[in-house]
Amino acid sequence: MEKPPVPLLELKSVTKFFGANKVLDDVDLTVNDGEFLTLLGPSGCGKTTLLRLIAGFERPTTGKVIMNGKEISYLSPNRRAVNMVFQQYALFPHMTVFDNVAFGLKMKGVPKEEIEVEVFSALEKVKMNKFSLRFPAELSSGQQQRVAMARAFINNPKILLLDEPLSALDYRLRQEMQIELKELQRDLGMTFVYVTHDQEEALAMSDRVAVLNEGMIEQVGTPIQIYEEPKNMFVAKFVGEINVFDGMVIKVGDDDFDTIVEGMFYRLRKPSSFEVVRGSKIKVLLRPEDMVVSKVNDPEAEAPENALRGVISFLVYKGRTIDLWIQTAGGNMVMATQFFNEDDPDIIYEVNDVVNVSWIKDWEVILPDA
Amino acid sequence: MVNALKYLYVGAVYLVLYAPLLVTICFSFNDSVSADAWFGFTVKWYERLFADKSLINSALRSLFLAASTATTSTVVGTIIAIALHRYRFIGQKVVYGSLSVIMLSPEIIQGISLVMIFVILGIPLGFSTLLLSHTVFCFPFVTITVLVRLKGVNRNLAEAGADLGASDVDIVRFILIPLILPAVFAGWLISFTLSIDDVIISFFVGGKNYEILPMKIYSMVRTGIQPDVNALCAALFFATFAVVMLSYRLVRNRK
Amino acid sequence: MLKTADNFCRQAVLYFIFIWFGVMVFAPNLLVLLASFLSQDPVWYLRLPLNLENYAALSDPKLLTVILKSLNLAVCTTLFCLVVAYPFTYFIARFARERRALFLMLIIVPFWTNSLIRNYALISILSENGILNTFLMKHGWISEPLKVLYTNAAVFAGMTYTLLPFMILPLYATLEKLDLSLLEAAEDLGAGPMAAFFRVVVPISAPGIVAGCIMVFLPALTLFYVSDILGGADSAVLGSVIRDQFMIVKDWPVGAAINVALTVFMLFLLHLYYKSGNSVDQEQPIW
Repeated sequence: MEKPPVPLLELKSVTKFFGANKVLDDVDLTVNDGEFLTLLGPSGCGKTTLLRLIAGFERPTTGKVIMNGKEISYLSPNRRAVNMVFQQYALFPHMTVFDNVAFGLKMKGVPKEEIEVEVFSALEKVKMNKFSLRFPAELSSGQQQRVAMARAFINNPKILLLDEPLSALDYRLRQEMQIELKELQRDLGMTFVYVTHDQEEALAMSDRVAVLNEGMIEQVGTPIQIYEEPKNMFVAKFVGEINVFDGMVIKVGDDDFDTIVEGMFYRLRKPSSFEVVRGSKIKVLLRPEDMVVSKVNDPEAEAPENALRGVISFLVYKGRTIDLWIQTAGGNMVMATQFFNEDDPDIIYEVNDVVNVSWIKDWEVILPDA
Repeated sequence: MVNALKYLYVGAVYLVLYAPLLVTICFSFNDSVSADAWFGFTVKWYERLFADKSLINSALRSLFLAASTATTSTVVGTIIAIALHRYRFIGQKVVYGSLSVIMLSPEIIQGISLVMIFVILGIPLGFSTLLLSHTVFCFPFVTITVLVRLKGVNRNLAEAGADLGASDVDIVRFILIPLILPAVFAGWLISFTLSIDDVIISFFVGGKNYEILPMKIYSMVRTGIQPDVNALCAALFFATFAVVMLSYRLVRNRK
Repeated sequence: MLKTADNFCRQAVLYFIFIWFGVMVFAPNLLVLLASFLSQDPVWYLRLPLNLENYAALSDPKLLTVILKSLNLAVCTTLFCLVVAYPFTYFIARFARERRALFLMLIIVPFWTNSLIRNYALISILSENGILNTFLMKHGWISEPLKVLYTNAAVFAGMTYTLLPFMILPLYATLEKLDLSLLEAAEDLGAGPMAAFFRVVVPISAPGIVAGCIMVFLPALTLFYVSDILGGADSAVLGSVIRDQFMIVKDWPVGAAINVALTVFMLFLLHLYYKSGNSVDQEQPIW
């Protein structure tokens, strides 16, 4: 079933300066044919600049942009087989929906009758064919977003670039559009490069995610890899919530090693990403939903092995789940997300409850202490 | 009460602004050569006016000059505005600065410098020198009007155009120009108004071969102006008013 | 690589701009500057040698009297225009959006009749048996007709009338953008309406005030036809002198020297304008 990925676009050690300001720092990235790749990062991390380099609005200061084996670093935007959906859509306000969508084909000199057929089929795909005679100002932002999509993909680009296309929509609509966008991408069989600062969006839609920070790519991988196996602290902290514990390595075995975390002894599996050295400091990372919490009825009793003792300092009820912030004896604040279990009466937590906190074994992520 | 005073004040200023115009129109129907009192309604000055070829001709020349000036300065001013907006080039700051200097310069400074260069270069004074000079003092108003509008146009629109395969020329033709059309029209109107109203620059660069209305009237002032000039001015005013309103409507409806 | 067609287009437009500004804007003004250092020639208007005598002519007492009188008139005209135009513009800028456009249009409409003609029409208003005197005497406010026409007062009236719109338009540009919530904020912070007006509105509209004053002041020095039509024998303005130097005396170098002096003065005012404007809004167009 899985076909080997075919590289479509390659960025080779691309660096970009705006004046003395380094926006992209030696970026290497491959976009594979047919994939949904998301560039994820905080604002100012260079993700939009990277997108604009692919579109041709910016030229790399050094490095190369290669498409299908040909260098296109200096090709102007109108000569590139990529199209863009702009953040604020950039629909032409003086043209109807039809004329907006027809613009690219008109520039290519496609005959009129053909344009009409193509435009309506594109509008059909985004469910906007009833609105062809409206002007952009007469559409809701969700509708404008669909038109912007149709205007871009009608040109059948090799890559469709999307610059935070959902950021102007409200929460509900954004959720719906995430699914629609993903379906559209599958339907069209088109390569999407998507820019967002919203990690939920990135995880939900992408085949692969590239996490950017300060002009550098921190990690490229599937959403699961990014979330479950973050390569460094930045990725771990940027994508989702995470608890960070400091540890000290006291003994290294063949497959596992011993460490002290918060004064407790743990035997953990050796990470594959780096060599654990005896006496070195490490970070032990855990997602809130991997934490196991149990209420302590007798506070005088010793905490069981592999568990930290703590007090709930506040909690947030979220409907399906409840988030607990637990102050441990070691002084750390630990976040734990618990799913409701109808059969378990223990699930009723209150502030100042004393609890034991541990985690599901082997679900931790070990990183060296920088 | 305060509101009433406000309107009274605003009304009074408008009355002052329009008084000479009203007087001109009234006396164009006054059955007397003197402009001091009302002697009854007549249209004889209009009859006399349409018999006077030289007066009518100078008026037509003025109109033709104003329309030509408005058109050339709109073209020149818009090109410069688009270039200032889209390109970065050496001397851009100087161009920006010159625009405000030209707009602020008293007409006499421009009139004299232009007539000197025309005389030195041996260009005979006439329609062409009038057109060039009027265009020089009108185009900055077009450029500024269009620039303000261009600044309001989302920069992404031009990029979207380029992304969809449009060349620079296509972007200007299909995206920028339609978007700035209202400002271009406003610029045309401003230039027309400035050209029709000008006296001093025309005085210097006009010459005897192409006598436009203000020069004709200027030469008549000392000998005394006949009421048929009032008739001409009233007629011109109404004609201009009608044309402007009509074109304003047309532009509005197109939007 | 850059597309050659677009590149050609860019080159052509830039060449056009350079030539246009070079020939139509810079060359004429440089010529005036050059002429102001040359000598008079009865046939060719200008000839060598270079000298500074033309500027010395500026200190001629007769010329100085005219200049001083003209400056006096221009200052009076400017101040009066400002006093009349400011409340007027402030009221208009506060009207509803659509009505504002109409009121603004109404200021421009009189321009479609040449200003020479409008000034000529002032004669029948200001003359001894004119409309103004008739009106005032009818109401018994004056017993004998005012002698206004062909005096400096008439020139002042004509200048004010002609230039009032040039004060209104730049003021309007700044006052229209004034954020009303600033006034409310000032009053909320304890400023009375007068204090709010003078401490908030007036400083914010400073660039408009300066622009308007420049646009009134300089023409008030130079609109010779107003003094020709409405003024008496001693009502000449600076513009009349320049015109006479060129058209009657045919002394181009002296005329050019006066012109250069006026230009330097204008650049000085422009400098003041940019100083006043930069503190509030750099992009503020001059009108």
